[in-house]
Amino acid sequence: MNPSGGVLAGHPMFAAGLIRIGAAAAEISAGRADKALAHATSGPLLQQNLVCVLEGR
Amino acid sequence: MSEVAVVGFAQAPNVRRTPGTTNGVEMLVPVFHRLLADTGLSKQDIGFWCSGSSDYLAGRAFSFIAAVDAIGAFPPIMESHVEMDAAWALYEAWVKIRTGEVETALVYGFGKSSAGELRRIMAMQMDPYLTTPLWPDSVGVAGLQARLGIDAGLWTEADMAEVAASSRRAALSNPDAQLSGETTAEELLKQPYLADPLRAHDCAPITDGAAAIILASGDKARELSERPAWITGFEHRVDTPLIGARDLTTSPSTIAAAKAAGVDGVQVAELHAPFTHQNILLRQALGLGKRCG
Repeated sequence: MNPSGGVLAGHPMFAAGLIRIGAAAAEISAGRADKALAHATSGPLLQQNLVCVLEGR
Repeated sequence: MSEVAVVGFAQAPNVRRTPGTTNGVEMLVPVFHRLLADTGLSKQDIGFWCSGSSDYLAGRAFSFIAAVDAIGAFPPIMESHVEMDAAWALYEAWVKIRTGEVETALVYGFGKSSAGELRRIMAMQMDPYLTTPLWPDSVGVAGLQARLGIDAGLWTEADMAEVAASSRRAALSNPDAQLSGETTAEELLKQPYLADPLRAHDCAPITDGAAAIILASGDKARELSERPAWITGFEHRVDTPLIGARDLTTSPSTIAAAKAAGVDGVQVAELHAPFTHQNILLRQALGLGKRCG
């Protein structure tokens, strides 16, 4: 879970969700995982949520 | 429709305050340079540019136009922007490639959170008629949500502190992290409240930063990366903005997005949870179990 440390380790507004997808993709590209989930949120108290599933082959 | 993969990712160091402008150019230029060098692409090879940022954070209208300076004014580019986290800009770019309109896209997001009083700025994303005029600060509102979950027996302050300790430990291997270190939940719980039941460690720090991703379709992705990260599910959903009109201890929109995207068998997860209790809430909603480290 959150190998990067997640947003509690750094939370640049409006980039932090994209960074979750980049960090999950990095896990795939480095061969440390075959299937990864990245989540992003927007709005107050988790109002809008996005899920991106990434896979290596 | 074309398959799409992430073939490159770069970010600026996450810091409490940068001297740069709110248009993000100073943070974005080195990020673009690194990303294009890593993939061997040039500016002209990018079919579509898409960004996520906020005028409210920058303090002026159409602030994202100034960020295009980081790309350069010539030759002309095809470009778009969302007033949301850049993850949603990535969604727009993904659709653009899926429909066959372009082969590659560069997506970027930036935010200079230090430019204003973030806790007040975030109040402006709430209902503008009845809620924002009360200026409910974002940490205080999150405290209400944390309290609801504690009262419902869904998490404890110790569980929350454990999330913070795990995050800082994991961040030791992330050179771009703002906060990292060895600590324990026990140590963290000795700290005073910031907005009861939240302590400082329960809240994501105020961070200036920027990041970018390059997407590519099918054969192009295989050419650019030895092991592309193929996007096999991509969904977003929304709940009501009225925080009094929904159950704040769960996240129906996350559950619906995850179900549609197909998350069975994931081995690693990166969750965007700006407060420790939200990390637990999301894990419960996604059925990802208890492990947070």
